[in-house]
Amino acid sequence: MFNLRPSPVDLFTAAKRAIADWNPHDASDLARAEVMLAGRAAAVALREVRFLQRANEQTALDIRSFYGETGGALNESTSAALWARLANDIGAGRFDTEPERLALYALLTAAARRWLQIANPRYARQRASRPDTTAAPNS
Amino acid sequence: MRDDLEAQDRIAEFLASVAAATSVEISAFEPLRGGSVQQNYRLDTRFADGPFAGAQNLVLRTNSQSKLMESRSRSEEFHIQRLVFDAGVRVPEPLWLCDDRAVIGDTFYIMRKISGSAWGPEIVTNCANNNCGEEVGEMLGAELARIHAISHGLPGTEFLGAPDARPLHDRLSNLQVAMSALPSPQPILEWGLHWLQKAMPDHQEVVLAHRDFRTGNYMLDGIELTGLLDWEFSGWSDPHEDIGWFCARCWRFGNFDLEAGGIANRDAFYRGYERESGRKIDPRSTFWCEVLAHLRWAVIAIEQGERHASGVESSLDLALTSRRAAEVGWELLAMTSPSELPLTEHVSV
Repeated sequence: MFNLRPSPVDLFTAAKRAIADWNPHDASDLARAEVMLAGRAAAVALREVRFLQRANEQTALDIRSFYGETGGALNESTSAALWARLANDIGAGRFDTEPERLALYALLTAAARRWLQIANPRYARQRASRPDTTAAPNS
Repeated sequence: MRDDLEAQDRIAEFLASVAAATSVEISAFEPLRGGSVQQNYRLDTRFADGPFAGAQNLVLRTNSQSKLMESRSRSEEFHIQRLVFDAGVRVPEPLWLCDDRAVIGDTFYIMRKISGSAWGPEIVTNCANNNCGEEVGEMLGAELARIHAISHGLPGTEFLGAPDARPLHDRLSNLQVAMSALPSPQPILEWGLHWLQKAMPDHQEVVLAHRDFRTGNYMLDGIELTGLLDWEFSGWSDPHEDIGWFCARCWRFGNFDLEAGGIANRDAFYRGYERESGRKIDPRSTFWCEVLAHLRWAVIAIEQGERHASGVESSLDLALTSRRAAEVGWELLAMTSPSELPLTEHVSV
């Protein structure tokens, strides 16, 4: 969710270009699919422009709080650097014991939920209302 | 390329030469929907004479401007498609490979066009409307088993190289490399990778796997399964990788309750597979591979976005695919909640 590529502005520009290139007289499936794709991309990009910064700031606060609770020293100053530090520490297995693992999971889930609500709010609603049918066997 | 008439003339000449025809006329040449990794063109032709004399509806498949890390070359894909076609798997018959870049500027191959649709949303809707999902799911299970019957050592498989005895380890290592090359760090994916490393299945087999076996990569004409598509990721793997990929929540096209590709219950798909293969599907390995599927799809989604963002290949479809990582990451977390112990910790082998 930090440093998205393409950026929200680039995504919006690409969507705008696709809409400008659209020939409304072309009734083919391909043309219809392309203009619908452009509409979806524009909607995602606009939500990102509007909400992503706030979501990232909240996630950065959560990460600082998490490291505060787990006793990790933080020298990172930017949100993106905090996100990178977290990725490195997870990869190194730094949070494999309780209660850090549970706290980490809560942090990641909150960040993922924020991003999902921006990227695909319909999916987020569907996901909240439907039971999870894929469960680990014997769990 | 569709507007490049000289390229079309060169394609016609190529077809005439490989099919022993005096001439070939191309009446339609246009891009086909889908194929976000490679490019497919519909090619309606008429061969003047020779063994293919008459009208032939074909597909030309070639490289995109950029590629994914795990993509095979078109040449390798052609040979894999030939291998499975000869083994009786339902695939479009691959006809000719052209390595001469003078024709269209890149390697391509020609296969027969098959009827039907492969578009995921349409498939799940049609299966529901025609009440044929269970039947199709069972057929797909049996078809997958026919692919998995191809094992290392069979004649014609030499070009695939020697398999790793523990292919899922290999898969995970490759994903780790791919993750390290992503343009930005991904803590959610690191969490998934770490979970997979700790819960690795002990027992692994080696078969030929499709490695992109899912709704969206098979053609359905009514209720008839006409062929399996997109063999660019195929190679040696554990059979559960294909089973997990097919059943993964991220490939159900919104039909979450139908766990086999959004079209059928698992029972129907498993029944077709187990009957044809004589192999029993292991639910623990399948679950692990479904987690792997989400991690892999998230990595691919981000790579697709990078293909656009890097300027190598401008495509709105690729750009928007990068945002699929949000929902796939969510599912990855949902499946790996720490309230569930890693499978190896509470299931005896």
